[in-house]
Amino acid sequence: MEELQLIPSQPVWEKVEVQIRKKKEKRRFLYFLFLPTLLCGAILYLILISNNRTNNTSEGRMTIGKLKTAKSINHNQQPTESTTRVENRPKPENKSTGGDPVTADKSINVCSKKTNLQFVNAQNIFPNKIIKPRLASKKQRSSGFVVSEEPETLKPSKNESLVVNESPSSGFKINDKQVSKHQPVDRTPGTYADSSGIKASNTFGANKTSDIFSKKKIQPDSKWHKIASVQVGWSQYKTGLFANAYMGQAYSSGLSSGGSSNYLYYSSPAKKDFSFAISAGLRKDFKSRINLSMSLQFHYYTVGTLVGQLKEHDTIAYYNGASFPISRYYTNSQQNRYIDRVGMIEIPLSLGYQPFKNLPLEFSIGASFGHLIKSNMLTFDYQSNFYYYNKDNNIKNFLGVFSTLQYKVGKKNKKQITAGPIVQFNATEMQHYNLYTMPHLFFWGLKTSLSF
Amino acid sequence: MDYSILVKDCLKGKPAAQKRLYDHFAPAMLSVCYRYTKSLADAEDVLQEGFVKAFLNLSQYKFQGELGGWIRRIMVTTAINYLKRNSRYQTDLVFPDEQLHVVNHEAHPEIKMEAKELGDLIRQLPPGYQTIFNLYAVEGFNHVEIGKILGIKEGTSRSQYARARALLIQWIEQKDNGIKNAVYAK
Repeated sequence: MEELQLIPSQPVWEKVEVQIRKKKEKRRFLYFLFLPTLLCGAILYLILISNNRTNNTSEGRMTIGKLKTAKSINHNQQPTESTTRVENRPKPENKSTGGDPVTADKSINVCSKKTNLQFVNAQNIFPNKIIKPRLASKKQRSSGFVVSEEPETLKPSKNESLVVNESPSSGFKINDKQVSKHQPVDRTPGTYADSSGIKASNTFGANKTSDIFSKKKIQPDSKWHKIASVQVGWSQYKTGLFANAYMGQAYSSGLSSGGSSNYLYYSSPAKKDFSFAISAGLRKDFKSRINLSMSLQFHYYTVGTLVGQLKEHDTIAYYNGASFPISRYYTNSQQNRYIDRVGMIEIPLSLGYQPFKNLPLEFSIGASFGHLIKSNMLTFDYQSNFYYYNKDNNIKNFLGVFSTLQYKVGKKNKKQITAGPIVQFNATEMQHYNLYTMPHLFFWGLKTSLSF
Repeated sequence: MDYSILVKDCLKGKPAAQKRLYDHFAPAMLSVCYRYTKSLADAEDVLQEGFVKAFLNLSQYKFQGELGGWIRRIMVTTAINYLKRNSRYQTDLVFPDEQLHVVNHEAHPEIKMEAKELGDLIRQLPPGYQTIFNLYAVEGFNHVEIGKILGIKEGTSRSQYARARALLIQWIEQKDNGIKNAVYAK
C-alpha cells in the first residue's frame, strides 16, 4: 500500500500556505496585544512603586513620631546618658505656676532618649499653660501641640525630663547654638521643656519640620521628567524591498514542478532616503545611572525605488496566492524614482544606562510599538513584473527595536540636552507574506533630546 | 534527504523549505488520506488540513522518529476527525456495539493484486468498515487503540474489521472469478 502515491492539485499547497500565514498573523496579533499590556502593567507598577515610596517616607516619619509618643508615656524607663546628664543639671525655678511643684510636675514626658535638643524660654510663649501630647482638632494637629488651660494629672517622669536653663532670647538652642524659634530645628524628635518642667516632645511638632525635610530627602530622581526629542537620518528596507533574489530563485524552482508560473521576475533594489521623527514623553531616573523613558512619537520614513512608467488600465495582480483586479500600476523598467512614504505613530520605551560615572555617556536599548498611519508603499508582482499599490497588503502594527548612544549636556535633574546616534530596526515585516517582498524598515541617524 | 535542516528552515518560516517539505511528503500523504475518504477532493481537503496542522505544530517534532511517520499520524487523525465532522460520512460511521459474528481468523486467501486496485476496493467499503480496516490492516493499530481513537468498544472494532475483511475477500474472489471467466470465454 505504501507505493501508492497520488499527486495533489496545485491549489492545495496555496490553501495550506494561506492558512499558515493567517494563523501566524493571528499569533502575531496576540503577541502585539500581549506586549503593550505587559508594558503598561510595568509602567503602572513603577508609578505605584514610586508613589508608595513617597508615601512611605512621610508615613514612616509619622510612625516614628507615634512610636516615640508611646515610648515617652512609659515612665518607668531608665535614664540614658543624655537624659541623666540633663537631669543632673540644676533645676530652674518655676516662675509661671507660682512655684507649685505639683502643677509644675504634672506634665507629659515625651522625651526621646537620645535627644539633646533644648527648648529655651518656652514659658514666655505659653504662660500658665501645659503642653500635652494629644491630637485634638485638625487645626491643632497641624501644629502638633495641644495647649490646655487645665493642668494635667499625669505623673511626671523624673528620669527622662530635660530641664532647660532660661535663655535671654526666646528661641531654640541646639547644642548651645541659637536658632530662631520659627526655624525648623531638627529632624530627630526631641523634647521641648519649659522652665517649670512642662515638657513635650517635638515629635508632635515635628510634622512641619519633617515635611520640610521629607521634601529635601526625596530625591529629585524619583520624578518623571518631560522629554522632547527629534531624530533625523536615513531609512531603508533591510533586505532591499524587492531584492531577495535567493528566495525568489529557490521558489521559482519549486513552482516549476507543478506550479502555474515557471519564471519569476526580479525588482529593482530599494535606496535609502530621508527620515525623521519627533516625540514627546517622560523619563524616570531610578538610580543615579539607570533610567526608563517612554514617549509618543511620529516617525516618517521614505525609501526610494526605481520603477517604470505608470500604466492606467485594468489588469490582474497576484499576491499571496490570490489574484485581484487593479486599474493602475508601474512597469519594472527602472526609469523613474518612486518614493515610498510611510508615516507611523510609535510608542518607544527605552532603558538607559550610563556605564561610566564620570562620563555623561548613556547607552540605551528599547522597543517601539508602531501603528501605520499612512503609506504609499508599492508591492511588486513577481509573476506579472509590475509594481502596484494596494493598502491591504501593508501590515498595520509593528514592533521595532532600537539602540542609542547619547552624550548628555547640562546638570542632572535640571534641563538636560542629550545627543547621539540611533539605530532602529522594525522586526515586523512591512507587508504581508509575499515571495520577494518581505522588507523590514531600518532607520539610522542622529537623535537629540531635551529633558526638563 | 536531511530532514533536520528542512524542519529547522520550516520552523524559521522559510517558504521555500515549507514548499520542499510539502512537495516531498504530499503524494504519499494524499494516498493515506484517500484511503479514508470516498473521493479525491475529500482527500485533498484532509491533506490540506493535515499539512496546516503539521506546519503549525512542527516545533513538537523532536527528531526522534521518522518525519514521514509523524506527518502520517497527523494525516490519519485529521482524516478520522474529518469523517466524524463531515455529514456525508456521519451516517455510515455509526458503530453498533453488538457483536456481529464470529471471526474466522484461519481463512487467509492469498491475495495478489495491485495496491491501487486494493485501495479502490477498500474505498468501496462502507466508511465505518473502511476506517477500521485502514487503521488495523494498513496503519497497524490494534483494536484497543482503534477503540480509543474512534470511541468504540474493542469488540466492535474486531467485528467491523472482520466484516470488512470478509467483504473484501468476497469482492476479490468475485473479481478473480470474473477475470477467469473472461479468459475462459476467450
